[in-house]
Amino acid sequence: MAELLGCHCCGQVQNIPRLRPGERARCSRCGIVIRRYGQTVRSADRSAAAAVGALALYVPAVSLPILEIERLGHHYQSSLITGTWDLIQHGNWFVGIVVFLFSIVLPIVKIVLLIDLSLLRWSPKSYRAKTYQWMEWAGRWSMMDVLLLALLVMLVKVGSMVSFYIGPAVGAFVGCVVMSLMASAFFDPHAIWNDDTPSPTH
Amino acid sequence: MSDSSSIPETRIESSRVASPRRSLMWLVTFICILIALLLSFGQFWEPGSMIRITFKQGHGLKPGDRLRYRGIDVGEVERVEIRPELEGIRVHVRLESAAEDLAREGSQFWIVRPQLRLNQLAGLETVVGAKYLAVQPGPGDGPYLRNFTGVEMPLALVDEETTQIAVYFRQGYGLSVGDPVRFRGIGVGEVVSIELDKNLQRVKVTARLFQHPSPFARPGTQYWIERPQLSVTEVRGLETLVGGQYLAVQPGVADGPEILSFEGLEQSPVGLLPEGGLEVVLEGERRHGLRVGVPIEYRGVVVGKIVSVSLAGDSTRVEARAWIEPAYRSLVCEQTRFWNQSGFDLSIGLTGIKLDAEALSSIAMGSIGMATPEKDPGDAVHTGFRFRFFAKPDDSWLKWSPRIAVGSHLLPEGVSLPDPQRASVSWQIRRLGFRSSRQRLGWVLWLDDERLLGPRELFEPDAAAIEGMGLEVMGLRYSLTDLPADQQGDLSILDMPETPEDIIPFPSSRLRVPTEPEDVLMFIPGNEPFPIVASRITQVEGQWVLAPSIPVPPDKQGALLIAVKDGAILGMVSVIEDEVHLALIHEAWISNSPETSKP
Repeated sequence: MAELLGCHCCGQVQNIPRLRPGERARCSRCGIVIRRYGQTVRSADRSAAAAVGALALYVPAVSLPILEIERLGHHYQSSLITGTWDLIQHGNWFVGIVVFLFSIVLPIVKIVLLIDLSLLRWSPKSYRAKTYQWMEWAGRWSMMDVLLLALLVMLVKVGSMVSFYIGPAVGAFVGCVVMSLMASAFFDPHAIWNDDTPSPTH
Repeated sequence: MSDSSSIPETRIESSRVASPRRSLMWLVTFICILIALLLSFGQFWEPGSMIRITFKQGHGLKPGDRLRYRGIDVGEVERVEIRPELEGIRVHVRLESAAEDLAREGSQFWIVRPQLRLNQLAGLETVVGAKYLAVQPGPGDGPYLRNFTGVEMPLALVDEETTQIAVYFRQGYGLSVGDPVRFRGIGVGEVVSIELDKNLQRVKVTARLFQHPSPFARPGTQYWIERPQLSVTEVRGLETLVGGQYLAVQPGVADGPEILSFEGLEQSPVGLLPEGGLEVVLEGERRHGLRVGVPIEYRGVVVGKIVSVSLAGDSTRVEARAWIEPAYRSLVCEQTRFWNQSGFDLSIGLTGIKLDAEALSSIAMGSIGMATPEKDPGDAVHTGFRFRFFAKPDDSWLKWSPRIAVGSHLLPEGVSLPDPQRASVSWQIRRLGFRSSRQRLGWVLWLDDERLLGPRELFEPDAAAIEGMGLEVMGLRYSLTDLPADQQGDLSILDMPETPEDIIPFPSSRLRVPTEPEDVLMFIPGNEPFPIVASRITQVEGQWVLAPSIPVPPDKQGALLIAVKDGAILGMVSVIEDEVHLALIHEAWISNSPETSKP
């Protein structure tokens, strides 16, 4: 049974037959590879791997001290969570909640949804479609990478006034950002609908 | 209805890639999980050991504060908790593994916090900065401990072994932990703790002396708390008014056995009385001006002071112990009178108001007058002799002026100090056609055989002098060229035509030529004789050379060198071009001298 597929490069709609192992399909107009055999499975697999890695790194990134400040002998170290908590405790409700949502909650939501999408392939299509929408939305608002940038700016600007060290969480944080970016890059939304793709084990 | 036929087919080609396998990405994931686990556990596993320190006060210490040793971080406060019995706090400190040796028995920990006292600024970095813990390690061979009791006050870091002593006082006078122990104004220790003894009768002050063994832990050492004392007779301890109290110490015998517990004095001891003084007792009907510390004056010059005042044993009179300085003990004879000199004498008469006042100090505190009669003064007295104390002087006493030789307490008893005269040699030279005056000043000694002893440089004729050189001494003026001079070494001796009336010439029999360096006094009238011990003098080719470490100002031209042994004059200080020499008497001058009366 053939299937219609739009080329993601030139937009040409074309019929694509069911591929057999070792085959790949090229666009009839521009010649770019538009599908490989087992592509959806593999992208889901990769995406899941990256997302799991991101999840693993997320835990230390959030809970370990991310920056240590020493000023006049006063020693202060905070992780993302305690830093956010400090912000809220000091009355900065707005900033605290914004940071909490966009740097802590939404990234983990995105990662978890990615894992859900790429691993739980037996769930109903409607559920997966919904999950995909949420994931897209969460990914748009998750600001982990921006926070990393803010951290770097602070390191450069404030470094001369106070002794400023980055904690062990920063490595995990960078890893987490990279892995979650990779996870969403690997993720192929076609995998959601292509439930007829043959299982790789046959 | 154009069907699917118008829709092109994709081109299918076979690729070398076989069936999809598990992605290599899972390897990366595995590495990520490994890193996460390492980081997480690394946070909980830290090198170094934990110690617990108990304090009474936390002073705002909080987790993350540092433990410093010699200014370097060696640990970090992990946790501060209140002890379950609410009787203090316990600080958990993680010690770096390199600093394990600080956790040995005897280490003392304290919380550094700002100390702003007028005489001491310490821990200033903690005013705006964080508090931190400091540590003073104990002896390096003690066993390792995990629990310590912190000390409350920061202590000075001392490398040397210290001596800990306890001093008991009836009053603490606001002494506080960390106050210094001072001797001669120098810190020799510090107060470590102050506590009441069990029955609240005394204050136990524990002090740490920066030496071991310490010369201040010997029998006879006196400790007292120096505090401001403003009485009319005495102003002392003023530095403690703004600077805080301190524990003062006066050492006892030098080589006694070590003792570590002392009874403190309630008052600072009355000055230190030099040896050789005379102590007599004044008895009066009333106290009048007798007070501890009141000076005893002879012709307005302070010769002693009152050491104590008390009622006699049968309370019929007041008894005061008077101490006379060693140099002036010859002034006190059996018939000496002592009386009360109030500060000033105000008499109002027809002619106006007459005010007799002594020095300002004596206006405030009064003084004790003393006079000795010319006729029948009686024998010299000895310690313990009792005098009557008069409320007022008799007018005749004030006119007494006996001649009594006054010596120095450094000289043998009965030997008086010589009486050198100030002399000036002046002349004129012609310079660039103008006259300009030249003058030399120095001390000379008039001998009883009409000779004048002085430094050679003083009498040295100047070839450029016009109209001769004049010597002025005792208010008389002589022409130097008229006086036959005998120069020997750096000294000169002049034959004088006469002896002025009002002079006490020095017996030339008391000139002596020393054979080797001996202890001498360098003496100029008006100054305390300056002792020079023989070991600071070396004899080089018949000359005495003074050790360069002894300061002799160049204006000492003609200062007398008096032998401590017998009071004989051995020579003079001679300054030649700002260089100080010790010039000795020449033998020829002694053999010349006629035998005269004994000194």
